[in-house]
Amino acid sequence: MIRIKVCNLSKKFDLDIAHNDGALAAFLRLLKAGEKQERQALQEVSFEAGSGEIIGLVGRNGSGKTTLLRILGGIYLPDGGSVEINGKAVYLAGYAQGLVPKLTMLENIQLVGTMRGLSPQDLRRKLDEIIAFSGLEEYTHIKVYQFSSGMINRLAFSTTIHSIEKHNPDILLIDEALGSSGDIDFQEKAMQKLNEFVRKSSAVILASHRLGIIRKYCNRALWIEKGQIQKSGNPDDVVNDYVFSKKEQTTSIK
Amino acid sequence: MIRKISPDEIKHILYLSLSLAKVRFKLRNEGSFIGIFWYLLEPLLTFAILLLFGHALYQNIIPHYPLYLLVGLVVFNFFLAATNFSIKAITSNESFIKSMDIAKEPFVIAGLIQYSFSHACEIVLLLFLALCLKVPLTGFLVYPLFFLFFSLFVLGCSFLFATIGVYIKDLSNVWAVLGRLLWFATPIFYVAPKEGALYLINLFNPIFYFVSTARAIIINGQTLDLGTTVFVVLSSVLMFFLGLFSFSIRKKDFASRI
Repeated sequence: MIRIKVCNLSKKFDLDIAHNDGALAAFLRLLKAGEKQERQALQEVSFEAGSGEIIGLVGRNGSGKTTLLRILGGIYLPDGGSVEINGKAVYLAGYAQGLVPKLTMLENIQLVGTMRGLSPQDLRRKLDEIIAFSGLEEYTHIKVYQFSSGMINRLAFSTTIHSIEKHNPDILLIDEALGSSGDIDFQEKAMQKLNEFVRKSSAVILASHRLGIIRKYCNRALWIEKGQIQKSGNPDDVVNDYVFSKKEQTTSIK
Repeated sequence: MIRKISPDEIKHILYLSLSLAKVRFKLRNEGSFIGIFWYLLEPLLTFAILLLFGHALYQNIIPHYPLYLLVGLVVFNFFLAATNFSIKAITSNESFIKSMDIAKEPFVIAGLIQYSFSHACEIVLLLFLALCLKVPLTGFLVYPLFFLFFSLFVLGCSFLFATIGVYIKDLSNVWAVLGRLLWFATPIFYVAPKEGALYLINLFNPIFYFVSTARAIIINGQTLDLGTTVFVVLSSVLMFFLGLFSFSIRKKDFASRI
């Protein structure tokens, strides 16, 4: 079964807004219509992902991986082409997003859980599980700004992963969110939990700069360069070509 | 473009809005000894200063001038505070909006809930003042109905401002100036002029009508006449749908713009 079908997908960003976004600039832009500055983030991207597939995305920073995942996750709208998603897709990025430093751990779990779609009943049911998984039982009433970065990662990962568990996602879109949570013990626990998800999900798209992970977990890889698919196929071949191109570029700069 | 929202989604949006409002309320009073009394202190101080100047000038012209002044202040403050908040409602929640496919409306509604709470505190002040001035309290029974429509109007403005705020990042500076101008143009501490530039401005100033209606209800204990009722209901419903419409057609674009 085809879970994701992407056809000639394009996305561009308005650079004028990013550079100068004040009222006066907006007015001046209206006067000189036609001189819009844009950055093409994705161009004519097409691929399919079937049930049981784990697809790795590799590419330099700014190559379009995050934009692609955000479009698939329903966060961005595409400018051209089509996207068909069969099932519930969940986008997972840096876990600490949304945590409020001035709230306690408990309040943050309630806030992020609610934002991730947990009802008050779900929250009551899952609360102990989230706290136990994070291993931060003694800190529930401590404000998060007093946490170390490792503790923040533990809390954020545990809250996010238990919150999305409720939705039983068919498609996981993982953006640089593997294996960077807390200390080594917790990282192992986090990887196991994530593996459970990956096994349960019908399709996974995984963007990472950790090429070992792409080689180990994916059964196909896409190399994206300047918004276009450069190569698609066996993860080892794609990763090798990507690494080779990076080395070549470094040599030519030297 | 705009799809129908199911009752379950509305329930979820309201629940999210309430959760966000609670968080904002908690954060605002974080580490403050006088906590929620800040909500009362701010209008009280403005009221005291304006009363000091206005009472001598208007006590013989406007009956129950302190009440006249305080009603004007609290009604306008609610509008200004909620709209000020809404300008950054989307941009200040970038971390949520860029990391999950989530309803955007709660970020705006949360502001309305938060400032409705502070408005309720101010109404207690008004009640106390009305008691002191021996003004009949019957108007306070009708006020919630008026406030329901006024909130709808403010919510519409908030949706509109939240949308524009995504595209024009210094809108809060622009609104700080325009909002202050509107404050002076609205007869909050002075009598509404019957002619001249201010009279003309107020003909097109919806807040003037809302302030006047609130005064008629609370000070004079009037129930709403047909003309006022039609204005309050129509302008509120129209503004709400205009705001919600502009927000709905642009909301999917917010994540790419912030």
